[in-house]
Formats: sequence, structure tokens, C-alpha cells
Amino acid sequence: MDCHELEANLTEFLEGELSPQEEKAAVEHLATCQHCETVLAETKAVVATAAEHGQEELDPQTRQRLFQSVLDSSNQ
Amino acid sequence: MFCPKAQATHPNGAKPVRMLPMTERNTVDLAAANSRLNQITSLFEDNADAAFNVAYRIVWNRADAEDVVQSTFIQVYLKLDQLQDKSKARSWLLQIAYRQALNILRRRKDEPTDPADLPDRFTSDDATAEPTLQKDLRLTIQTAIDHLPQNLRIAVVLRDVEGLPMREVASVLDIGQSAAKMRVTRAREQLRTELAGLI
Repeated sequence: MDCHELEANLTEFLEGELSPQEEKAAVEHLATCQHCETVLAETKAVVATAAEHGQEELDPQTRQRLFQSVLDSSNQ
Repeated sequence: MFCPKAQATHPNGAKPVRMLPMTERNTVDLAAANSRLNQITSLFEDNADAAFNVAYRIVWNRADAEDVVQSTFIQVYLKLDQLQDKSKARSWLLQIAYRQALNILRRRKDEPTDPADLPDRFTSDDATAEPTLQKDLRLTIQTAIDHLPQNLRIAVVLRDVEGLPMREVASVLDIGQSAAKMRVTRAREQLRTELAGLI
């Protein structure tokens, strides 16, 4: 696997969707390619940061108000 | 089952009023109502933030996003019987929220629909004791997500922020799984470029 192939399959690699042979080839390439190793590490950091910090949240008062409105509207 | 009417007393405190026993039909209705209440309560607790998150990333307006959450869960409540597979509840209701938000966007004529047009980005918890570094990181990633084109933005929010499996991202967006994967891939690439050296 070369750099182009690895970047083209990066999402499948992260999703665990590559075949065993493809995954082995990806791992072997990553072990020898600083560029792809960096791309993988940065992509993992993006995914982790988005998961941890990417959410807009409702404040508790708004949550309660919206839930009560749902119940009130649904029972009419 | 506890039946309040069966234990009622006369308003003047005299002898207990003799009530007819609750019929089987009433018992079933009450149990069904309680079950629906429990279901909607649980679904709201688990998914209200996610619905708001998706809606806000489309309508860019807190009030409209809250309206989307409300109308989404009213629909969910009314359609609970259609939910056969409980494991798909999250993607089912996020699809409703996604469509409701798009409807609001289509109805708009003269309001800003892009975060770049908004004077200030919404931050709900500036008063919290969140450490500065964490707050900076949060604003950095959220601003970068804001800058993505809408189709990539919603895909990456569903996959990486809300954690939906790729097949459910595809289901919410009503596109094929390979198209969903392509959008997530392109979104991650753009985020990686924008955030290079920052995270």
C-alpha cells in the first residue's frame, strides 16, 4: 500500500472495514511512512476532539421547558 | 394496580364512595400511557442535546433549533408505535430533527443561514467553570465544524460528535453508505487541515 492508497482508505481503516490483508498492508505502510503516520494521528485527534468538544448543548432550564411543552402538546 | 378512584372518599369526608372496579380496558390504557410517557422521557433525556446539536448546525439560530427539538419530540411521541427497532431510535429521531431543520431553512427568505453571516457564535455556557484550555479547544473545534459546507458538517456531526454508525448517518441523511463515508472523510480532511497544529 502506498501513501495515496492509504489516504483513500483512511476512513475504512479507522472504521475497521478493511480486509485483514488490506489492514496488514496499511499497518506495514504506516510503520515506514512518517507522512501517513502524521495524517493518521491528526485525523484521530480531530475525531477525538469532535467527540469530546463538538456538541452544542441545551441548558437545563431550556431542556425542562421543551420537555414540558412536548408533553403538553402531545396530550392535547 | 393502584387505582386512585377506587380509594376516593366523598367530598364531605363521609363514608367512602363505592366505586366500580377499574375495567380491564382502563387498566390497559393506563399502562400504555405510562409506557409511552416512560419511552418519551427516556428518548428525550438521551437525545434532546443531539437533536439540538444537529438542528443548530443547520438553522444557526438558538430559538429555531429549540423549536426543532420540540416539534421533533412531539412527532416522536405521536409516532412511538412506529418504532419497531429500539436500537434505531436515535437515528430515527435525528432524521426527523434533520428534516425539520431543513424545512425551517427552506422557509427562510432574509435571515442569515450561514455561520459566517452571524454576528456572534452562540455559546451557552460562558458562565461555567470550564477550564480555559478546554473552552479554547471546544471553541476551536466547533468553529472549524461551523466552517464546513453543510453537507459535510452534518455528516461529521452525526458520525464523530454524536457517534452514529456510518450506516445510520446514511439513514439520517437519506443517502447511500458510501456517500455518507465520503462526506465524513472530506469533513475530517478539512478539519485536519484547518486545525493543523492547534489540537
